[in-house]
Amino acid sequence: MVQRLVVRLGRRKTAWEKTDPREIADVEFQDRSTGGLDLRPSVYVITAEPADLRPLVVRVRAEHSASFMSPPRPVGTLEFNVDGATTAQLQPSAGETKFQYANSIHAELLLQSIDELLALIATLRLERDARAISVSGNDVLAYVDARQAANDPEWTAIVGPAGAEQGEWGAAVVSFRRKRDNAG
Amino acid sequence: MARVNSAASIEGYLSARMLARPRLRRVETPVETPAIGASLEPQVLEDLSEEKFVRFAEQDPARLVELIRSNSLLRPALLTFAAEAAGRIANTALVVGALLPLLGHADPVVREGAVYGLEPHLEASLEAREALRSMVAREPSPGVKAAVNDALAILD
Repeated sequence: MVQRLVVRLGRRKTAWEKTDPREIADVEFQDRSTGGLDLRPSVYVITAEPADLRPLVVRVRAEHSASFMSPPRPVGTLEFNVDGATTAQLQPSAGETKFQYANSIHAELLLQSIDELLALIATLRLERDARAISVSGNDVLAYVDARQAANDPEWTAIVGPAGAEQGEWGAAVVSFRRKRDNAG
Repeated sequence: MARVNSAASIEGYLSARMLARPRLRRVETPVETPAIGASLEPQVLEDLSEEKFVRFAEQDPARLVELIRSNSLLRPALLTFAAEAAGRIANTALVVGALLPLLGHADPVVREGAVYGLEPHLEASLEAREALRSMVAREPSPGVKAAVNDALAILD
């Protein structure tokens, strides 16, 4: 049976160690361009068979990171499924990543007030075990490996073809891949 | 830093930011506009953001490092992204000099950001590697410890 996740990608794992929702909001719901609070936070709506949900979360994380993370690196993160955690309206909106899939499932939560945001955070803290989704750097790197091997044009545009990596993300992927392989 | 971290100043900040924030693309959404708090911090009036930190790293690294070094001017939620953005600066000595002090910051969010900023420079900086190795045993935050271990694991 098809299930749905509404995934809010995390910024700092340590933010969720805090107990004050206001401090969590200041980090996890901070607008990248203004530094202010974002009452229309971006989310990704993933609809799939249960077995496919987690791989799609990894895909979205990888695509989002490759579009926005600076400096580039495949890194472990803590995401949250916010589906049902708020009554805020979910509005599909054009994503701004470099990937068609992530853009196609992008949406915004239309929070009406700071209090509504803080209530959402309180719910996520309370239901953390059921809602938190941990994605490791190796998950992201393995996904990039697979897309490069498949000659995915969106990924090769960012990291270059396998063996001829280019750009910031290409260099980062090569570096992390070498270190991972040495460690393994 | 204690003043910035207090609940009162955070609420004042949150309220003020909602008023200060440009919302040109989003005017159709009704948004509560609480009154500006009485305890505005000086940095609230300066439009600093993650995207601006990244631009500083690329175009004016000295400005970014200056902001980080005067970290009492940045609340932890901004300082963590300033630290991460500093990782883009090519001058390893400059980055390491600015970020090592943040590894001892009281707020784990700042320490996590400092680890991310140092990560691209770990191969080039023995000082940074040793600093991260020495902090693992005493680091109380699981999130920071995980970030440090991830950074070091791929080097060892």
